[in-house]
Amino acid sequence: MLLDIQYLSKIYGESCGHCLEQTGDEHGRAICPGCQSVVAVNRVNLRVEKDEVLGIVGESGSGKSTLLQLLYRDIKASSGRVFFQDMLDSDGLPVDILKLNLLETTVMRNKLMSMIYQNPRQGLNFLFSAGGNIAEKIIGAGERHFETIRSRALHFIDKIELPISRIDDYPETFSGGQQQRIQIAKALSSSPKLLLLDEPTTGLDVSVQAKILDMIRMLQQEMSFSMVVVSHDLGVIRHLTDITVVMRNGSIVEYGLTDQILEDPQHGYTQLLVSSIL
Amino acid sequence: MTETTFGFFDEDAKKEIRRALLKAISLPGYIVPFASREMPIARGWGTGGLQVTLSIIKEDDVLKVIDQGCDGSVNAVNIRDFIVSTTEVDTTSLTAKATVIQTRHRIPEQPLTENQILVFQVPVAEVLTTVEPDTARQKNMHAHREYSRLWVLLYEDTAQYGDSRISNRYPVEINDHYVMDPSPIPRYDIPRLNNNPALLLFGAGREKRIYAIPPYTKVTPLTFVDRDFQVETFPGISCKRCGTSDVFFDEIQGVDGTYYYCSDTANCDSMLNRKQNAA
Amino acid sequence: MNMPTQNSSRLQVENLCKSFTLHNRGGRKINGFAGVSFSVKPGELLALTGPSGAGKSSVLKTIYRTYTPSRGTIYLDRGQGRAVDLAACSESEMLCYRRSDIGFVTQFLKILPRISALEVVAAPLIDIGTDKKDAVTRAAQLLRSLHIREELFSVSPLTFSGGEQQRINIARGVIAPKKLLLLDEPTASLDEESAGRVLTLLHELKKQKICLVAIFHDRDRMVQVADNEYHLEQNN
Repeated sequence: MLLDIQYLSKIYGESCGHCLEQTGDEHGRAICPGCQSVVAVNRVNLRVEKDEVLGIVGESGSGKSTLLQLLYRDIKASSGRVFFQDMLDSDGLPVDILKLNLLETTVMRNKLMSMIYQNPRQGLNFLFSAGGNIAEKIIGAGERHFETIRSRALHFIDKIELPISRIDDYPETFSGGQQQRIQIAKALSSSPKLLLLDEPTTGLDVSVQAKILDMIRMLQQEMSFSMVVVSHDLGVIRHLTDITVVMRNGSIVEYGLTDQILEDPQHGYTQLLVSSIL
Repeated sequence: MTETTFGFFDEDAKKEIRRALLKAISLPGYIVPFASREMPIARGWGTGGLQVTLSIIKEDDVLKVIDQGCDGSVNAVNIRDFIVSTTEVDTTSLTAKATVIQTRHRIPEQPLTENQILVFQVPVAEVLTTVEPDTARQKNMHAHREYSRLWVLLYEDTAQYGDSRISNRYPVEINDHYVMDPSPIPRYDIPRLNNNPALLLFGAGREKRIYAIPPYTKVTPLTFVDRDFQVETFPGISCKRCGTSDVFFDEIQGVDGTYYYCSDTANCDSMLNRKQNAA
Repeated sequence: MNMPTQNSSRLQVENLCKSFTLHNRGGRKINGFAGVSFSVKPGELLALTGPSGAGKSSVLKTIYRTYTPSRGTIYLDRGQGRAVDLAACSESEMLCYRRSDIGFVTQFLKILPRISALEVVAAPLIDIGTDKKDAVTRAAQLLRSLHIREELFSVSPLTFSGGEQQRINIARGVIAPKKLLLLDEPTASLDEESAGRVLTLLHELKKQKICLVAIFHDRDRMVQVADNEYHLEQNN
């Protein structure tokens, strides 16, 4: 078990204390009738194994991106626990990553997991060069030798098939697809155990999308890390993932092998989703 | 009109500034907010240093004020006159004689002692401003010693120019903890902050911030393990006036070429004296 | 979890049922198949027979968990007495078994259009940790033995003829050593010669003590390799 998510919830607004029981898929709503709070993620339990690629699908507002941001600690969870393999405290007990302070979170982000955002502006610092963005991650993991940082940055620029001569150029001088590739290089430069991808190719044209997905797959096989991919595009899910989770109204409605989800969906909503593939 | 109190401020104002100073000294390199007062000179002209000096100066102190190493420049003279008019302390241009030295952008050439306090005028207190504009996040980053982005700037300069392009305000790590802005002193002065016997106080009037380096504190410029920190060197150059070499120089463009003069004018004077006495 | 020990089967399917509920069609139920029971020993090939629509392909997909079983057990002996119920194991476990134990040659080749034939075939070996160079060498050998022309190795199989695609599909299914191999019409759309090669390959797999469950569209070909036959009746 690499990642163990237990009863993870996120409530926006002042909770009346009964929001979780009154919302979710079985109630068909994400807004609490008692206090009007929005329950973006409702008691999610999920496990990710080593080398596993997990997909999360669902319509906008289903909570899939929020779930990812909770894991990466971009936003604060309302309740629940998340454990990461080998994240132990000084007594050797598992550490709940939702309780980490900023420094520990930084270490976690620089050593254990990386996030690739839909919008490169979120994942990249546009004030830093392509190489500088990669360097930030390597430095964050504790490296202080210039030559090591530089050669690793060059290595990853090469890996994502950008000419290494462009390493010192700034993100705005690259195309959208190239920016996304720099995000990938940055995310992988610290050799994470888990890669989180939030709609990684949404908004890119299809040929670029295919190239990036192929690249992610190839790197995943080569470097062997686990992934959690959020996408509303079942094509992306089919391409990348082994296991798929379907979310609606903040809850998981179905969990299964990706080919099973696509060929034998059990839940009515999943059946609707699959039958809507163009 | 009432008579001015000693040191311009009333005792409550001094107490407030002194409390900020004590906190700053207790937490080397940590930025402490204080209630920066309206001063008879404009903000940005040394009001931070002035407030620190006025709150710590005593009747028996000997004051020296320099601007870019020079005792005679207009700003230094005005600040010195103002302090004297409200305290009537003795003044000097000799570094060794001074007990309180207020400075803009230099550390005197002559080594300081345990009996001295050096007060820096600071234009930009927050070292993280260049990489993070949000002050709340800056505080969080300091609290967690999250300085990766400063290192990225260093990485980018090293990659593109072979070394950091920062000529002054070079980020320094204090006592292996906070990283701070040492005010716009040249790189030449950075190693001289390390393990300095004098108490070093920093005041930013416009930004309402105070911070400090206590005597004998470890101060290290951010430098990659496999790179050396480079300071300005002046090979083969000596002062046109006193003939000294191996000090920090001001470069003057004359009609018939470039001249170099000591940046520290008091040091230049004493070197010249020594030369004349010897002759 | 122990497999019933009355025989030395590698695969034992008991009372396997599959039905589909269409929630968006008013909860209409469709029966796939029901009460399927059979067992297969190592080195044996069991052929699933029956009329079109009897659920032959569905049985294979259910064993592979592309379909979730509605009822029944699917015991697979993973060696040293370690038997697992594929109908009850977790998805993560199933994923591991798919990588190491169970191969599935589907009826149609489903691949990405950007990957060469050689890479498609080598992928399952690389997945289980084989060195990329060795995997590609092994894939090339296998493709040659199935008479795929060398000039096609670097081309995407999606541009191939139906028969060539079928052989790529088989090569991909058999390249990594498995304990159980499921084959859905492996000789369909092949000419006599190619079909003959595939049948030879199946014989070889049997010699390697691999357990095979297959569907053939052509009875003549089936009888050449099948040891047993399980007949499914139309049930709805």
